[in-house]
Amino acid sequence: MLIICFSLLLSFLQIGLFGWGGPFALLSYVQHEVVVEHGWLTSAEFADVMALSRVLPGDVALDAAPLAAYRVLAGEYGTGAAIGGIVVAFTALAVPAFALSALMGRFRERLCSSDVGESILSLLRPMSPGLIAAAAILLMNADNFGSPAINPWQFGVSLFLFVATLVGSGYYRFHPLFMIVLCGLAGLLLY
Amino acid sequence: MSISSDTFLIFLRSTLASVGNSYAAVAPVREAVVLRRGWMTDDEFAADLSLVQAMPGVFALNFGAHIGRRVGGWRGSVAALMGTLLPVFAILLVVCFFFFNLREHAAVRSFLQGVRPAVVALVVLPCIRLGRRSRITLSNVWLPVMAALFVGIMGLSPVWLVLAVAFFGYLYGRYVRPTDRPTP
Repeated sequence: MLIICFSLLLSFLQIGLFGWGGPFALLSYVQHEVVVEHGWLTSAEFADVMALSRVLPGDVALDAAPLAAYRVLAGEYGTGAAIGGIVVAFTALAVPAFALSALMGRFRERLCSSDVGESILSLLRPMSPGLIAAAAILLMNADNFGSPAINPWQFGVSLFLFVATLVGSGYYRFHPLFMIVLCGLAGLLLY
Repeated sequence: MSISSDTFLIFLRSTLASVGNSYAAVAPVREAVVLRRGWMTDDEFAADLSLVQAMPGVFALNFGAHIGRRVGGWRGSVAALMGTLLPVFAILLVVCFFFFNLREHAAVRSFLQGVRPAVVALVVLPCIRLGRRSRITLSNVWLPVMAALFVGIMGLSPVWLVLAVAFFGYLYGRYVRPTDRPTP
């Protein structure tokens, strides 16, 4: 249990310290730690957390952290341990924010208007859409879309709903939550 | 009421109001801190906000820690972080108890099966939007492509990638860039 708590601490500390690129790029960091590296949540569970976090306060990272901790600790060690794990994960995310808020105020000038600061930012800035793309690629698997060989019906419907959401939210500017509920109802009807 | 407990309550209320999008907490915090309490000017708040957006980590937490520190020193920072985390903690604790069991339910399962492709599409959209806005040219298009390839397909940690790129940028800014500027 201590080992699990320690890797929760380490994972979310990394995200809090180096998770650069904005809320959507952060998805790739969280997915890497929670799904790819440690397997605390499956890819489908992570997608469900992302949907759920649209109706919960806070970032996806803040919603995924407790669910991952609960998932890995509650079954084996009980609810008390799971709550401890959630506290550990939140602390690991909050401590870097606290420390950075102390440092950034002091180094702001030196960071933003120097050769070093500018060239670091000019290289990091274009990374952000790439990291969001990575988060999307990590989600595009049989877990979330169904496999074309095993379940062609689900795969076809998933592709349709995917394109429908792209068009509906991207072109017609429907509210994301509206598209999510609509696709959920379609799933209810079709599966 | 002391500034710390007031800060705590401001962030508690704003976080609860920021359903679905952590940026939604910005407006109520600004209203409380700038307009009603007068703890900061509007310009200071805007400058802090743009700084917070360039910081690594979770936006909601950086925002709380930073604004909290501005209005009440390190105590304010802790108070704002607590105010942000406490409602999320309470709500997620309840969600945890139901989430994994509910997912097994037949109706919920087919509902979620429909939702997942939509969720993926809602990640692709901001990627396209941000890609258009961030002035990617032929000379730096390798950066996002490399990020998508390494992290999305090869499963490498984005942390190492960002650190490597930042280190490269540091070397460039420290040793190369000063020399290729035209001398006055």
